[in-house]
Amino acid sequence: MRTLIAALVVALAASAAAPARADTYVVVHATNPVKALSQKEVTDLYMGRSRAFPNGDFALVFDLPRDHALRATFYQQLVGMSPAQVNSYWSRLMFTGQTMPPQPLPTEAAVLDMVRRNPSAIGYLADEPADRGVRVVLTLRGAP
Amino acid sequence: MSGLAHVFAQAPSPMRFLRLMGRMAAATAAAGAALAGATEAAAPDTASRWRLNGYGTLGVVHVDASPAGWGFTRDMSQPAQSGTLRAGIDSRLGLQVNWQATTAVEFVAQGVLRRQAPDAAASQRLDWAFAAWRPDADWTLRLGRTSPDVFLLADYRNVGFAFPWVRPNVEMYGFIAFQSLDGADLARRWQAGGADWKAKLSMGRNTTTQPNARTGADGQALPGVELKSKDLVIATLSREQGGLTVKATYARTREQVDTTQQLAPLLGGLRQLAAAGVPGVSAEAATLASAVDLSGFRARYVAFGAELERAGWHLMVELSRTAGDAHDTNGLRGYVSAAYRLGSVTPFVMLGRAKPERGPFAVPQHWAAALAPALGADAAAAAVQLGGAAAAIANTSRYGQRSLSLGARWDLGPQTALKLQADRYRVAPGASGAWPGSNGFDGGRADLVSATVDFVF
Repeated sequence: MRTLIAALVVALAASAAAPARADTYVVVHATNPVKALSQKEVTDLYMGRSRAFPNGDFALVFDLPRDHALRATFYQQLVGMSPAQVNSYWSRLMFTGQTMPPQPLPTEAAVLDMVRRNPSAIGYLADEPADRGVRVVLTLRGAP
Repeated sequence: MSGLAHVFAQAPSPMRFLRLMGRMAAATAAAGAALAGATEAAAPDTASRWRLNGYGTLGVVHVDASPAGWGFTRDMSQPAQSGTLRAGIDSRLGLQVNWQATTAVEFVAQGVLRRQAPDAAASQRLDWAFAAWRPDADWTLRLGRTSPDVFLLADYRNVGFAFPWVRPNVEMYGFIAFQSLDGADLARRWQAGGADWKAKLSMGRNTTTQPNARTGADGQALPGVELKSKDLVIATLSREQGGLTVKATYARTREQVDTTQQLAPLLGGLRQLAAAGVPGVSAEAATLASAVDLSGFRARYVAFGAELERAGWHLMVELSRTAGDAHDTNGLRGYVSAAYRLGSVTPFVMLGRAKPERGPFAVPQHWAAALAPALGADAAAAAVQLGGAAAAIANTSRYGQRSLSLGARWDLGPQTALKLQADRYRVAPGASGAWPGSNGFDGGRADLVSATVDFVF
């Protein structure tokens, strides 16, 4: 029992230090008529509450794998949820056939490539893209 | 762990399960291919349109129940388990295949391996199998097998990773008779006043095999009871804003329980007594006969639920009321729960209550004196026995109990959680419907300690 309590305390301490240090850039295709998105609008897309951009066009939402460090940072900045909370949230929706979580792509490079090629796509990156094929529509500020 | 082996001994073999999933996937693919060929809509340019996901729970429960022999089950579809350490109550494995055929059309199939009535048809392992059509961002039409979306957690009651406790509240969720719905549902969502609204209308039918709580004269388990839900209509309206979800549900159904063969002698005897016109006996016999005869009845459910997730808190409250012709299933059921997140550990407390609408039946001892002059002492005693048997059966429809649960969920990683929970149940006399093995009259108590590992993949 004492070991269990000690383990719980260690886990608490570890999870209190959530990573949210740098900025994260939410990007769309350069020809997407959407010039900017609010944090609420991006939240609606990434949490499955909306399937469309504010102008009504279908959005193809892309994510990173469940164990990716940037994914943890992104959801912490966007909705203040840990990876376990995000996964728990999605398991309520996906296993009830309501909606599927955003499609994961293996790397940031794959996300950039997909968004550059697909006019309906939206993704996020750790570095501000120099690529002119994509446009930043929201910057999530990291902790100072 | 012999308990774990026991879970899957009762369930179909994993191979049979995988074959079932294979058939589902093949059928989904065939239907999808036909549909995709028929439409010109281009599929989204994504890395993969197929997705395979799953979830599971491995759990053990220590049950200390009194009177001895009471079995704990988390819902009506579960057979009783003997022994104090039980793995079959919460353990389960779900596998889901999604296929996005076009931007607007998706096929989903989900099979769940869990402990069900031994004679439940294999098709009852398939919880979801539907085609969804989303013509725009707001409307969804689904055809096939979906879930009766009656309560807040109804759709994901098997997905342990999705909720804080070891299992959904037994008072509220344990009595849901139908586990899936074959039919159609139409949902629309919209935004208004900064809130997300969703309305859904479902229609369909369902057949569930309930394990038989009683045993035959030879002590062997009787065959399961087939419960048919027909003309099932469910309407839900939910509103979400800033972490607060409120959901209201109305459902109505026509239920058919095929117990004619098993209950024919009992019902025959009761109806004879009812027709005999004996003061103090016949009216009671008629009431008992109608309480026992569930061959066809209508039921309505009204439910209200609210869930708040904010600043580390996860608060839930749900209340339901059942009304209908089967008076002993009528009643109020509900629970409140509070959980607070401390890093990766979430301690919680939950209080549940189920209260039947009318009082329990007792053995009609007074029939002996009323019937003896006309029938003789032996026949009168036999009538009392018959009345007692009917009272016990009628009481098994009654859920009257309270529970207190304390525990914690510990997120071991992004896809795995460990949960520990202690429950204390207090069951009212004549209201032990949730407890197989009870005699229908006694009250009782049970203390449970549960440990589970929940995962998604």
